[in-house]
Amino acid sequence: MKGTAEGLRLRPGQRPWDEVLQALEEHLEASRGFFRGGKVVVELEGRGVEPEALEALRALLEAHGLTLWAVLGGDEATARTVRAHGIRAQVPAEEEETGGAALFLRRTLRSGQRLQFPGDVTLVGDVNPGAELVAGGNVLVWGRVRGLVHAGAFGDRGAMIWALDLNPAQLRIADLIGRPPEQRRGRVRPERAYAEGDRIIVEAWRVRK
Amino acid sequence: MRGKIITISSGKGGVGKTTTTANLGLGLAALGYRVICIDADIGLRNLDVILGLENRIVYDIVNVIEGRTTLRRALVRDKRFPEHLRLLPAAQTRNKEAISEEDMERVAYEAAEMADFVLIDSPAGIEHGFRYAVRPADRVLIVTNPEVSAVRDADRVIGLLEAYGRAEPSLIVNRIKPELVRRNEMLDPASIVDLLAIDLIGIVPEDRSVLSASNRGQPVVLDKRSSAGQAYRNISRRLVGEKVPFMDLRGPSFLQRLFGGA
Ligand SMILES: Nc1ncnc2c1ncn2[C@@H]1O[C@H](COP(=O)(O)OP(=O)(O)OP(=O)(O)O)[C@@H](O)[C@H]1O
Ligand SMILES: [Mg+2]
Repeated sequence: MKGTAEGLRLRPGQRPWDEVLQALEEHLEASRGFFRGGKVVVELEGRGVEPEALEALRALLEAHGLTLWAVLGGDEATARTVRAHGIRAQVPAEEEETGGAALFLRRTLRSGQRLQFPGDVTLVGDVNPGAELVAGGNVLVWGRVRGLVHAGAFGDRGAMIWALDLNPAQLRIADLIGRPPEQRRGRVRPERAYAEGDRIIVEAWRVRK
Repeated sequence: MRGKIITISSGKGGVGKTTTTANLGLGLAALGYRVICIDADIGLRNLDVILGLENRIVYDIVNVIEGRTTLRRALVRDKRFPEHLRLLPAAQTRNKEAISEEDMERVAYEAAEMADFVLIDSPAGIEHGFRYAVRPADRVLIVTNPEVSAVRDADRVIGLLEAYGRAEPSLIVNRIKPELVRRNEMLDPASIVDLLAIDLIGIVPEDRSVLSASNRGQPVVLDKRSSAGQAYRNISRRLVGEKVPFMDLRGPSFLQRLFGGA
């Protein structure tokens, strides 16, 4: 399972469908509605899918507000089954590469406010203590981060966070959680955060000439 | 012309909303404006006590809303400024559900026809009581203390007001101890304003006389020697549009200058 800018990409591998569905359900439950409105692409990588499994998958996704948008990579017979259920079995290249949706906002997120967006987010303003910014993609804050920022929330560990002043209560990238050191010293400077291995690294964000 | 409706709110409880309402009510009355204070903290009535008017109460806001009396008859006249300050008391034996947002709006608008300023003392929290208190407001004053939790709650309230599409509120930082601020042991007003990013209308120092004054029903704004009283007199004048410089809370001579009558 992998997050994309618009939702989820599912690679079930060779695991039995009931196991796949169960894991997916747990993931969706834990995400508390974050994926709502997202699109799901399933990559079969050669394996088949029975109509029952397809319907169960669709029902589960819809119950969490997601659309089963396409089921790719099956053989001709599978593709026919998929189409018979009104689901795309092939996606033209240009439609696949639409790129992530992006959100540009000029405001300050105050305590108790939560902004969530499936794609990249640029915020010109602050993320105050007690506020939450959750994005499926990358996050750029042209301001101060004091609350919680979660980038790559669908599970994309490649997502990054940039901020002019990064001093959050907590940072999250995909499934990783990072906390800043208790006492921060020195001058405020722009920083960026990214995942490396199982850790979140925060470092100075410099423009290289 | 209809008077201005100002709601005093905070999010966090116990930061000084009622103290502020009482002092600004008296402060504006002393400047010659007609003021009606509304105690919107139904069930936890105490603005009357702080104003020293408890024993004059006959009717309360719920009686007015239920039509058992008129607003005019329910208003309690202040003993010091009977022509300028009147109080609409909260009901003590009812709860907040006894009034709706529309009820509060109706009463506040009617009061505004009879006064230059209507001050509404909001209950703590962000629930129903907070919502009906800010509903009719032309202006909201947010009271906070120099504590991380109080500032965070103030931020929450400011966010809610934004979401309701209200005009930007103004900030009062209450209970500042200049000594501690100077030693970096207390959040200083500047960093609070920096975080909340709203207009500052007053800084009120911690002052022991606030409590005893409240207990006697003689708010500090009436006390020429009280530093908090001076701060409330300044805020009152700012509310009517005067430019009053902020008291300097950083200089070592802050208290001396205050007691010298700054
Ligand atoms: N500047 C000050 N200096 C010293 N004490 C103060 C000051 N301001 C308020 N207090 C004290 O703080 C306490 C709480 O004040 P107050 O009742 O006005 O708060 P409130 O916000 O109305 O509380 P609630 O949320 O319960 O309605 C009181 O005991 C009051 O005397
Ligand atoms: Mg109170």
